[in-house]
Amino acid sequence: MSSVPVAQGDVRRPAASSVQLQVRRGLLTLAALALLLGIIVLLAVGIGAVSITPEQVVGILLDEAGIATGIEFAERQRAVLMVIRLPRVVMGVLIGAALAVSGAAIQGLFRNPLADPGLIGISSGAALAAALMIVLGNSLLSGVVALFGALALPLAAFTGGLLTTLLIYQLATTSGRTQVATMLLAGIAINAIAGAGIGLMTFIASDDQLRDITFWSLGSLGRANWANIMAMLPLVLVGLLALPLLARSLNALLLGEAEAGHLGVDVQRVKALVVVMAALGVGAGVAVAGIIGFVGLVVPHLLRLLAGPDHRIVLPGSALLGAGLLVGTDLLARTIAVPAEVPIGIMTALIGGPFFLWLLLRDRARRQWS
Amino acid sequence: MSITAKQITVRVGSATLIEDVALTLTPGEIVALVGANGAGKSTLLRVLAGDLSPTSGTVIVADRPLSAWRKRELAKIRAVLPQASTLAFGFTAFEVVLMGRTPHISGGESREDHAIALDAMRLTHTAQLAERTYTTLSGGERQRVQLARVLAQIWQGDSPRYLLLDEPTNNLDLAHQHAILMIARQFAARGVGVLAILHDLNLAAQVADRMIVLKAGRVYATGTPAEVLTAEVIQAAFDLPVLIQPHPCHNCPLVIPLPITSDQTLSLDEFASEKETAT
Repeated sequence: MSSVPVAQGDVRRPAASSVQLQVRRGLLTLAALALLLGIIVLLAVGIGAVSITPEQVVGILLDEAGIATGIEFAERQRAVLMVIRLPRVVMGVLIGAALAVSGAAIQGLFRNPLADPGLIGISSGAALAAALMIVLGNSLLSGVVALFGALALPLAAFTGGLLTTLLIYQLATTSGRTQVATMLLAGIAINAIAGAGIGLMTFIASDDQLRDITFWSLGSLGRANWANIMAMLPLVLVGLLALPLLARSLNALLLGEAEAGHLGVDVQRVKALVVVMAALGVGAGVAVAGIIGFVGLVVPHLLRLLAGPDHRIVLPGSALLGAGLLVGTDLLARTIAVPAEVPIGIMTALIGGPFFLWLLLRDRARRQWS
Repeated sequence: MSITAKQITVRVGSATLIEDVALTLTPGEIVALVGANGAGKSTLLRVLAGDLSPTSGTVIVADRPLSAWRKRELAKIRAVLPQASTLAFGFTAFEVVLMGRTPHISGGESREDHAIALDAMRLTHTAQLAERTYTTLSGGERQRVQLARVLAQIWQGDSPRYLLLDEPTNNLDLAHQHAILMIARQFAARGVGVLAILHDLNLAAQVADRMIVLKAGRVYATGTPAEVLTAEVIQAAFDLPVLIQPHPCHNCPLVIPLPITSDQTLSLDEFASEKETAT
């Protein structure tokens, strides 16, 4: 009805157009990242002991779909692509995207650019459950193994991660309100307790079991197969599709919880959704691939450097870049020391650690200046 | 149609922060909430904003209890300016102001949302800061950007609108303190009910239609500035002797603090002598 009159003058156009520029820059970033992901995927499915050209990849895929193209390829190439490379790459895409988009949402929720999904106990809970399964699988927990067979380990890891996260969330929630700071502290405490449990399991483990625990906690995409992918797909997809819908709420949340509430955001609902979806997505990834650190921490940072802090770009962008980064790192991990395969957790930490330090030092320098 | 608080009491543990406070804010008026540090001003504002559930009592916004409102519907007609806002991520000032439009937006921002955000920035003299990163702004600039954000939130609308301001003049220079309260006057003139916590009694006297003085969690005095601002009330509420004069230009009282005599305050010498006797 009424609006307050303001002084005349045309300051309107520059600010409005700069926002449009920002939007265009965001969309451009997303397009570039999608392209990058496509290139990395083509490289990753093609490179290895048996090489497959991008053209042959397309030919094989179309042939699988029942369309003959006349592109020549060997049966061996088809087998390698469909049974080994493609599942591995698809799994890398799903896990990388889940880790990064969850990391971005958790950083927004904690209003802290240094937060990551591990803070809310997903990884440590999963690791403890996995260690229990590996060490006690043929004694105390043999019933579980008998029931689920090869799925016992991923199921235990997934359940462990989810339960730990829910416990931390409950500890931080009193009379319907979740204290984010308490969640952080409870997370540190629970992570320490889980660490003790893992330590105990390592202590009583046999040499073979010890090797299994170590290998699991270093992460690997080597166990990828279509059955694993189908099991994790819905859990990862929920977060990938739904978390970006919370972008505007997460933006408002950066102003503060009370402020977001005053802007009409149902803060408690956003907290619950972010925690649950991050736990589902990351939990599913950890369950099949072990612990892969730093992707959830580093990727959202890169996105903010590229396109600003708006979650509407940061969330989908993180998913694309996280996927590309993990598939690329995995390609490196399995080709750098042929025929051996470096665990991918080592590679991501090797790349992520120095990057994190650089961020820290850069921020320190900036703080001194201002 | 108003914001009405009835018999509000807030207890935390054994401490009573506010007790049996009643308040009404009607569209079109400016109410100044004043009182000493710890008198319960911010607690009362948090109750009115819905951030804090009172131990007893109710807050009613336009005939409906606060809890019965959908957050988003409430956000369309009521904005709250916080005392201070930090931001860990590097949004521009314009993006921060545009966030004020959040409750009105589904999908993307419209051209109108952009125009409103920019008008709000011009009104608060922050348009030249639009491209700056919020974290690089000074305290006073941030305060004005935040004000622009809450103004953009309730910029227009048919139903009565409300503005709750927690120390809006914080960090502001003298000119901007007055400018901001003049903005509040303009919004009040267009039917917005404004409640502001203020520390400067003279500023409050010039701009407010009514004043509420809190003392130790209770309403100590309420009425027009001329009724409330007496030497007795201020002595009792702030423990400060003052002289009240008619304002030379405005039709309101002028509060002049009197020199505090030495028997009312401890002197540094006394601490020194206490130490000597102790040793």
